[in-house]
Amino acid sequence: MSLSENQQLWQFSPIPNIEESNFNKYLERFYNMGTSGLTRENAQNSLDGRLLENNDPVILTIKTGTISKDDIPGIEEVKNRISCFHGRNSYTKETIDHMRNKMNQEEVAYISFEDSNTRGLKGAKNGQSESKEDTWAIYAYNKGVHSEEENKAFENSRGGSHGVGKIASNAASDLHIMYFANCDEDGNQHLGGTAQLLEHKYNDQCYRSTGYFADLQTIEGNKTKFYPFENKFHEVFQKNNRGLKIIIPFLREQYNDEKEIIKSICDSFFISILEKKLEVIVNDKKIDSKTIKDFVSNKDYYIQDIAEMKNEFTPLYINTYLNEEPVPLKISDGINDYNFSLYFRYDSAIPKGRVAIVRTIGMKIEDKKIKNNVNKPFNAVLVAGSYEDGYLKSLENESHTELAFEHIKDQRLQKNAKKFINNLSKEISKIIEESIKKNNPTDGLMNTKDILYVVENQFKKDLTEAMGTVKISKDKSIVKVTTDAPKKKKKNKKKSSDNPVKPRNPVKRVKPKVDIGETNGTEEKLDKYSAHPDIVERLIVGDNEFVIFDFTGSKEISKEKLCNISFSVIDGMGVEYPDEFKINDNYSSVIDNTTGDQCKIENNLIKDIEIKQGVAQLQLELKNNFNRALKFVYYVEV
Amino acid sequence: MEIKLLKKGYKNNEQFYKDFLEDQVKNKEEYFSDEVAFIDVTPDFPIYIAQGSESTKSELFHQAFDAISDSYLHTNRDIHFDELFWHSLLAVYKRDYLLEQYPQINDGLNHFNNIVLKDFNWENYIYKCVLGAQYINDAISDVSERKRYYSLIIDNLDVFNYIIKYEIFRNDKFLINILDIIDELKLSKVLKSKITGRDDLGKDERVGRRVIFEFNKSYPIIMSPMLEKDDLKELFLQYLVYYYQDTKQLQLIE
Repeated sequence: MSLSENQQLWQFSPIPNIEESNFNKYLERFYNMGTSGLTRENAQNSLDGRLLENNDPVILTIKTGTISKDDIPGIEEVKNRISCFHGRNSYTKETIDHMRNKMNQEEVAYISFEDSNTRGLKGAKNGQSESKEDTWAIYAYNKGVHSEEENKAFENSRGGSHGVGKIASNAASDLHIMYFANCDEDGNQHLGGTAQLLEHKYNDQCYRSTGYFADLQTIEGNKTKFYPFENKFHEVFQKNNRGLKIIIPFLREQYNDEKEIIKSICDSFFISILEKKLEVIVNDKKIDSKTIKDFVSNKDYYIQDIAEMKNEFTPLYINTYLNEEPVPLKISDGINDYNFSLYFRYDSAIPKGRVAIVRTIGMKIEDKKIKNNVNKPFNAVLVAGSYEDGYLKSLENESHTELAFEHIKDQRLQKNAKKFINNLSKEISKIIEESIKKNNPTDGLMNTKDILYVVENQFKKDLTEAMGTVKISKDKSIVKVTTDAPKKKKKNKKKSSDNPVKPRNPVKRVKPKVDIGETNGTEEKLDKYSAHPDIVERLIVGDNEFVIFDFTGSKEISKEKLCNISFSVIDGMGVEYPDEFKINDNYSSVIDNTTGDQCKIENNLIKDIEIKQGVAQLQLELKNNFNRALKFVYYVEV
Repeated sequence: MEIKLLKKGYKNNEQFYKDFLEDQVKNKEEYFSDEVAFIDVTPDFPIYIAQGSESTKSELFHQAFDAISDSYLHTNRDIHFDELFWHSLLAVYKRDYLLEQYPQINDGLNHFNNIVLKDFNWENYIYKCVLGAQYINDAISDVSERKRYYSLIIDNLDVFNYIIKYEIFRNDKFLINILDIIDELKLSKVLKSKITGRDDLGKDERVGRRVIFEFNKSYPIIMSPMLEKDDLKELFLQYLVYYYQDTKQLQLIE
């Protein structure tokens, strides 16, 4: 169709009266997100629109410049509308004043986002269409003039390809207008646009706030339908190869910042770029897998001193992603497991620990702070697989800046999402803690989980009794000893008074430790006992150690023919270290003195020692590095 | 000055934390017992030294040692070894300093617990410094010598931690002997080094720690703090060889 002199280029739907006196609230939200919000939305939309049939990177060309106001199609109409606005509250008044202030410029700043290797929109020729195939209609008109609720449309299209990005683009314009030029698979070129204005009265008729850059055609009776204009406009508005181009005239001054644009591309899309899924050209600067490092390591763009990286972490993320080996991380939402790869780096110079949560082909969603670990010295990148991408996408908040569960309406899904986010933090904090322990063991805690202990505290008791309490100032007594070793539980005296006192059992049954990876079902299960020191005699002569076990007092063991024996070291505070002492490293041979045969050693266990008349005897030949002063607890398996 | 001591129940107490942030603790009588401690001066010093480069940490430790030996050590031991005294001092009288130095306290109760109300044991930085300063001050009178020993502790913090972790080694003579041995034989680097070829020990075991642990395991334990330095040195080297076999370095020692 061709344009006649007086043809109306912008369409606003008539409404009976003005109900809403405010601007679309999403404008303000995106406005607050500034350059990075605008850039992220448009780049993500381009990535979502990539061609599925080949693997070439999506190329996004971002240009800033100026254009004469006469080359902006239909701008006089928009100005006429703005001229008749009435501000009904101070915020709206301020915005209207700002629009009127800016709208009469002759030379107008603009920014454009042009993608290629992308699909572009389909079915522009069909204009406003009900068909789901016609992505043009969905993108250009949402639900069109008959849309009941702009917010709802926003909600529905949230996270989809092209939709949210548009309002981010409106927010970047002083006049809240944006255009989109499309070239489809068959080379059809069209131009559309939207204006997010105010509900207003124009020539005695009230109109809706949203305007569409479109042709209004009458079909059957009084029904009307939007059709796009064929693109014969100024070259800034031209899109000649397949893909979509967003043009935002009246670009707000604070958005016109090339450095910020480049940074927000690097911040949000470093993985897409490194993985050659995306290349971005900002005016004359190209950001691709080769050049991204030049930007990130340039002090004009990013702080280079690790110790000062407290707000921007991109140089760290890229370093982590390129230099660390990913570890698989499984996170559950209570129902499904999701698999991620975690690139993790520990570096004591890092002042703030963050995890970049990144979709495989897409943007960084969040610099996630892990609860209790925000000041820990690490950096990590969590990358999702494509299945997980979908799930992460559903968890993003409306502005794609955070994983959240509050926006999910379904109670059950919301619960799962909450669980997932908690588990995510939990799993990552485990890894952080591990690596901090590993790297800072001086301040670490001892894992006492599987330490069995015997505290011989008789000496301490005797000492306490033998010595008078020393009084110091203010009548405080000084004989107070706290040990790091846990205290022995008090024996239940009541029980023992009911039963006659039994002689002490020389061996004590020990609960088997469940060892992961050692559940070899074929092996027979044995009972394990710790031997009381009274029944063990130990002697070191020259390079030989003799150990004799007298099991005659034990009905459990004395009848057995064979036993296995293992050693556990006890330290000076009575703490036992079950895995500390290695038989093979300390003894060159182990001989069963009853039979004179060499004993087999397996899993740090001396196997099949003969018990003759309740007694087992070992002769052990010491290696040079044996510490002769060690003290043991002996464990017997029968 | 007079330090009002806190009453039991301030630990892990959300309200107490909130009042701390809002600077209300000092106004609420219910947090305090009737007891007070007296101390002449209470200079600020670093009480949490977990972050930053090695050189920054070293500088902070020096500040802490100096402040403690110049002022806090002049009190009775039942004050400067008392957790309640420190927690009261920090939470009530040092609030502004702490929030300025450790803004992460604002981030949550656990940070508050970890920095301000940390248990007074070998993992607590104040404890480390008070104990270290006490031992050195008791045994050494010369001021510049004291400073040299502070430096030795700071340079060998890992070994120091393991010495004070095992209560049987909390002894000034043992500490000074070990520091002397490390200094004489220039072993600081060796003791900090990772143990190689011993996968059974865990990924990040350090030579120094294992040597101290070897002392801890060796019965009769009580003897090692009483040994003369030369006897101790012999054992020290014997244990060192278990974990460190770089013969070139060891020849230098011999």
